Amino acid sequence: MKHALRRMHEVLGARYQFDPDDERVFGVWDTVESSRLRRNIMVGIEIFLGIIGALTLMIGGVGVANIMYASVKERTREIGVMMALGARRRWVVGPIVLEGLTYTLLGGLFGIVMAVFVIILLGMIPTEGNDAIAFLGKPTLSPSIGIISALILGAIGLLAGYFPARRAASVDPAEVLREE
Amino acid sequence: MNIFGRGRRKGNGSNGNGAVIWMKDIRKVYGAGKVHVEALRGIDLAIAKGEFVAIVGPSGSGKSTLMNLIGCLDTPSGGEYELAGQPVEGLDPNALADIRNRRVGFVFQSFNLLPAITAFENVEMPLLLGGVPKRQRRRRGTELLERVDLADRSHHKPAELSGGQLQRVAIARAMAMDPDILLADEPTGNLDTSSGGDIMSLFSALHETGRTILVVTHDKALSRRASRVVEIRDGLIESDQKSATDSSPPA
Repeated sequence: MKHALRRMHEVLGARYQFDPDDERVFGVWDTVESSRLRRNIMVGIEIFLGIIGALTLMIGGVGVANIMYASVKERTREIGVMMALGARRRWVVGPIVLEGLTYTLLGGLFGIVMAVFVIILLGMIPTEGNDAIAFLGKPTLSPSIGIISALILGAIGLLAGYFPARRAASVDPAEVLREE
Repeated sequence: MNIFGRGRRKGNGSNGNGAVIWMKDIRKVYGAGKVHVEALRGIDLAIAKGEFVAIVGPSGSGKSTLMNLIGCLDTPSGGEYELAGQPVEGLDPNALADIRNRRVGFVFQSFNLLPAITAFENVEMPLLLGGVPKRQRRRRGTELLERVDLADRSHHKPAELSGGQLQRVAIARAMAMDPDILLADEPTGNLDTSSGGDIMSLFSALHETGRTILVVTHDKALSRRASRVVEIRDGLIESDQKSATDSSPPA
């Protein structure tokens, strides 16, 4: 490509009497280059949206963890009672992790339903005669992105339940069962 | 009617005298350095199977701390403790949880039933934690609630029960795993005289079937029913007397 361009400058330069080193004499529209550029921009946008999505998931995770912390605090006495009755660590930790996971799972399902709904709505916008919308195209549900977000969501849900559960397991039954 | 069963399986301790609770020079210190509180300063205590012991003393004397140590809810700072012949020192949290599940039944002043589940499910909880199969849990839970005259309340939530009923459910729950000892901390403290009397009668009945019972109490009426009264003051045992009126533990 570079060679061909160089050669064109030399031939045309000899013919029309200009310096072949002067690149501003004529312009070249390189379709390969421009499609590469366009692809790069698209990848950039995807990365940007991906980061926003990941941050949103994390914020959701922090929200779930917060709810779970509050619920552990509220149930401190019950946790102490369970320990007095002989609950092993997993009996204390398990339900809380499960609850955190359930919240994120429900949130994830709700998110998918919302996504499908939005895609259907966007699909109703007519594309004919509107170049901008025609360029953006119709959105579709991407199974691979769906699976990846579900996995990330699962991991976040586990963490969001695990840390509050660890707090619960460190409850000192002798302390919380003390009569006031 | 002896549906609460009696100490099965559990062997005699290495302390050689078959005591259910055997403590030597037990100490408990809270905090560290200059700001520490010595809650217990050297307790020697042996309680034989079938005794009904009342632990009395002013508030802050260390009796609740002693109860927590006996029930393995807390670990001593020093001294030796064997529960049903098993040294408790150095056990990990899961092992201590198993001991609390199988060997100790707790009854609290404020009942401490789980509010979201029914009376029956509360009684069932230690069995569930102890891995008892469902059919046995059903049978045992029903028997226990019948024993405390609450069979007709088994599907009520704690909020729908009176104080005396709550404490009876708590006692049924404490007996669920047929423990070596029943530990009660001021069990009549939140009850009116009549309900308190029911609870005392229940303890007496359990004692007659050979259960080992320890109650921390200010209630003179309750401590009078005990076969032995241990008085604690400033972290030490001040007196330890067999009750004159009591029969010795049944053979």
